[in-house]
Amino acid sequence: MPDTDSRFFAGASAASTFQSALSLIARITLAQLFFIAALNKITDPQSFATAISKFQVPGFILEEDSQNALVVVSVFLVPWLELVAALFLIAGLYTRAAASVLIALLAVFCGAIYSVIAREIEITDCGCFGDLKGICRDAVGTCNLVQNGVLAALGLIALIVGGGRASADALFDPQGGPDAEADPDDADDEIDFA
Amino acid sequence: MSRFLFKLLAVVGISVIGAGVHLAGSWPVQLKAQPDDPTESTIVLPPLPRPSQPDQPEQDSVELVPSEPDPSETAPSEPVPSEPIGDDPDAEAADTPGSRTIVLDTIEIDFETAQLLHANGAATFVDARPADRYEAGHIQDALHISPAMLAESSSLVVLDVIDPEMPVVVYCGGGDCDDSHRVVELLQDLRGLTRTHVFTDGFPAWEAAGLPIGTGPDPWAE
Repeated sequence: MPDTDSRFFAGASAASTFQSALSLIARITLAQLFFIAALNKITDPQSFATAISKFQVPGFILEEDSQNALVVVSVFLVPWLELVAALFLIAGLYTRAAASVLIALLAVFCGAIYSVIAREIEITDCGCFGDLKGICRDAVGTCNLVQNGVLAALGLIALIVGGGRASADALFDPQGGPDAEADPDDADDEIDFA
Repeated sequence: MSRFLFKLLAVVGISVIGAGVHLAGSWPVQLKAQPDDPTESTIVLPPLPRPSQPDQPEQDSVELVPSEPDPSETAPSEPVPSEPIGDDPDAEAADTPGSRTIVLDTIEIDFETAQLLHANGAATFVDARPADRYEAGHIQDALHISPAMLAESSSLVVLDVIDPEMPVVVYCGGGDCDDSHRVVELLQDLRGLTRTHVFTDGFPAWEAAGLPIGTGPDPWAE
């Protein structure tokens, strides 16, 4: 059997069936939410800019007569991070890296939401998913933190388990599973989440 | 770890490239702090009805003896021209004693103005909240157009109901609710409406004041 095939099967068997299924459900669920959210934001930058501005984070507030560079960068970069990470997650390619990006974004969102709660600013629409409403339909508050926490938990599953068997990682990166046999050449290349 | 960082950089790098291309395609970026100011409208409202006089005796509704018909009563009554309610500043009603004039020159309007416009049918009201909230209760006769609906389709049937010659008052849940501003922006962009306003106090204030509300789905909903 060619060496490539043996590496493929080694990677495919790295994660158990349960882990693979868990990872598949987690990353597809997380990815589709971020995919839809990203498309909404990409197709309507103004709406996302307004949403960012409403959080009244210093430096991230829209101005009447000029363009705020931080808002502009955020409006264009964040949705693309969401979109690309979501596509990688759906494919199961670079699963852990993609999950890390989304977890980092969720951490930033949670920080912004917490700051709004702490400053007692009432925002009826967080703009988290563009114009689409998430689970939380009332003013931005604890519900949004819990919602993001659940999404972060899904991301953590993908980060810890990896892509599992039904992923591009299993095809191209046989070291993707947590129980994969360590390659002596890549001894320090993988994060051991097991 | 270096492989992980490489993968991370790959994901972020592709995102940056995508964002860069998107930004270049959108250049120059024009992110607005709020929707464009509306075209100034002058609304002339009819005079307030005179208070009824309590001492006036009630008219007897039964007439026992036929009397000579009063020519003024038998003459076919001509249609009484209603007081013009609109945004024509030259309207004669502006000179009518007791008439009130509202000048709409700002994007946001207050509670009293919204109430007057609604009571006189001088504006089209639009509810920008989600469908479930609209169905639970909305300003009477308000249409339902949410940002999500406009994001899905720019050719909604309900958009054809809006009279472009009349002011449009959009509201949502009050407070920092932004849906109304979004709908105003989209109506400006998609339909070229210029007489668009936001009722900032929104439905909570309207409901709390006990003003007319309706329930159920929008008949124009597709």
